Amino acid sequence: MRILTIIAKEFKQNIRDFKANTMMVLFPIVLIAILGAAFSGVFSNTIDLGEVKVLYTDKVTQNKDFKGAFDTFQKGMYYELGIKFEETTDEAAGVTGIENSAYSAYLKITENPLQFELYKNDRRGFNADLLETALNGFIKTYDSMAAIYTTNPAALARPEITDFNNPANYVQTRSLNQKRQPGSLDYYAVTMMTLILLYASLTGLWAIRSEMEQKTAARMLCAPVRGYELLTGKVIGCISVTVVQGLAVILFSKLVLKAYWGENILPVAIVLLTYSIMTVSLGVAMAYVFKGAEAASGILNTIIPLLVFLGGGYVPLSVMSGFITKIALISPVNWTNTALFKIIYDGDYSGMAGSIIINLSLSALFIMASAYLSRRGKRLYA
Amino acid sequence: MNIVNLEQVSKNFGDITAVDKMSLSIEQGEIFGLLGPNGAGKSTAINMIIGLLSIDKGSISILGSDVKKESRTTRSNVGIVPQDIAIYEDLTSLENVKFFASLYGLRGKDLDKAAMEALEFTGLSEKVKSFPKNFSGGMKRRLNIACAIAHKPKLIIMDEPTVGIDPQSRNHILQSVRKLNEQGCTIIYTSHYMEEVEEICTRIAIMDHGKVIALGTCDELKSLITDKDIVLVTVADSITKVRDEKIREIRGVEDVEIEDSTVKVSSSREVSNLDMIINYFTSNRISIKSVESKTPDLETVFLSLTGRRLRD
Repeated sequence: MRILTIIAKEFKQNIRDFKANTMMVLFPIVLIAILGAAFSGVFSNTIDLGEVKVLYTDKVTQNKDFKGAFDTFQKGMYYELGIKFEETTDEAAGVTGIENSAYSAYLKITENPLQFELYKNDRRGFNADLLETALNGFIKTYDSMAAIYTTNPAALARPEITDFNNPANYVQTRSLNQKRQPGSLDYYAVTMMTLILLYASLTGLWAIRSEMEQKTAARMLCAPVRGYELLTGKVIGCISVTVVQGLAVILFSKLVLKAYWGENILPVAIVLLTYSIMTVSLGVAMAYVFKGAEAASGILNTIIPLLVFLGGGYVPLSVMSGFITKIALISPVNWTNTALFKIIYDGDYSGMAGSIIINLSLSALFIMASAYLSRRGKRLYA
Repeated sequence: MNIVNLEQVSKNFGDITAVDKMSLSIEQGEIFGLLGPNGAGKSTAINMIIGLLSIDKGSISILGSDVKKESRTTRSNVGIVPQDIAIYEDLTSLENVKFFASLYGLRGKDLDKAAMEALEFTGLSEKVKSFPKNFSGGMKRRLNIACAIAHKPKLIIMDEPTVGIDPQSRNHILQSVRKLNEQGCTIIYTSHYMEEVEEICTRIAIMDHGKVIALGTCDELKSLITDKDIVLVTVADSITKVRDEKIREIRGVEDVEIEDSTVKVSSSREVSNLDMIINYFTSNRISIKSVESKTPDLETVFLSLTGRRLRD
């Protein structure tokens, strides 16, 4: 019962702490919104090509079939990719147009033999490469039809063969990953949650230090309260309030910001709970290891951003070098984030057990250290 | 009946002996004053009594229960009013008192009743829903006491409970101490204010260098340092009229000193001779401006025994 009393007192005090609640609830929500908006391009699966203009000279005069096919190709490119073809008779203007970046490419078509020369603008390399790919597709299709016409002209009566209006004949986009991918808001909803839960270590730290500094710890231990009851009550009290704060962030990010937390929230909640236990225990242990609260809080404030960075909290680890990704393995944020993303987006629970075991093992280690140091340093209370 | 018993208790911190073979018995119903200069060992002794510090040697019992072996039982019977105000600023007065009382096992209606009684006792019944951060120093001190008494302990240890408060709050606290004592509580009281100790304590122990160097009632302690009564007579006339050899002839007078217009007469405590001293002056037509009978106070006793003032 004494443990429950201590939990209730701890919860009440923390939930009344406006400053701490602002930091633990409003801060991550604001960060999710800001980072989600700022890095939306990094997580986008679509590319805006902008205006793509191609200049061409067409010296084909006899081959009307080709002219018809090329005309259809142009229309298809404009319709599908927004690539706009402009004809000129001045070949020098084509080269100048590329040099002054007015055009992404210059295409020269000659007759007898039918040939294509493509001049690409390196400053708009991607657009020019895309055009080249599409053009290659067009040429192959046209060559095939020409060959069929030579050997079996009747086959060309089938309309689907000669349908140049379908631009998919030239450019086909296939996604390499058919699974759901996180958008920027989805990504930062998870990483900002693990970031802020790491700051719950400060809740644990101050929960112990404030009792020491206010001398209330001594008063509590003068009552028939055992050391483990005090420690357990404090830790569970801090975890309870952290859970409520975390829940507020999840609900807001899910319902208002429309962040995706997966189809099954329970495994996500379990991983986050064990992670919270670990972070609060870390703070409690720091309170006993260091004599001064300022030193302990200074160290936590220094290592938290580092661990969060290594956990991909600010920038996805996938965009970093191999060296960083190797160092990142030391960050508990990394294990937890990896497990959460696997659960949410792949329905893959393989990382869940590992993350839970690591979090709970570290928690046990921190709590045992706290229990040992609190017994040894009972003088701290006096 | 002894409520607290210390037998040959010692406590060392490295090479420093904070408490050295201290033996002491405190009777039920006493207001026991524990005095000593800083570093004398008072806090260490108190912390061992309440179980915050382990005992290196010797034993301490409260109501017959050993504090080492039956710490839960002994702690249940003790209430501590720490020198530093130990309350939560972000809990209301009532929440503070209820929280600490619940640690002693009080629940439900008993808890509510006990908490309200403690707040009434300390004059804070109108502040039950107020947060201590808005309290004056005196009110915080009273709440500090309320948190220690709600569970109705048999022994209350008050460590400097009146530090830094206004005279009104101090009087309130001293009255509370007396009232608690009348209700059957035994109180161990430490203070730097000698007049408080002299006023309320039934027995006093003076500690120095980890040992009890003097123990007794206030009068007993005073008698330890002197067996003389001192009378200071200030004259309105010329001091040259006073003949010290004539005063020495008065029965019981042991010494006479003349300084400026004051005559200091030291007499044996066993002889009552104030009327004869005054008669000397009147019969010799020497006008008396004032007469002061000087007996040693606790501060003098303390200074004499420890060589230091209590506030040093």
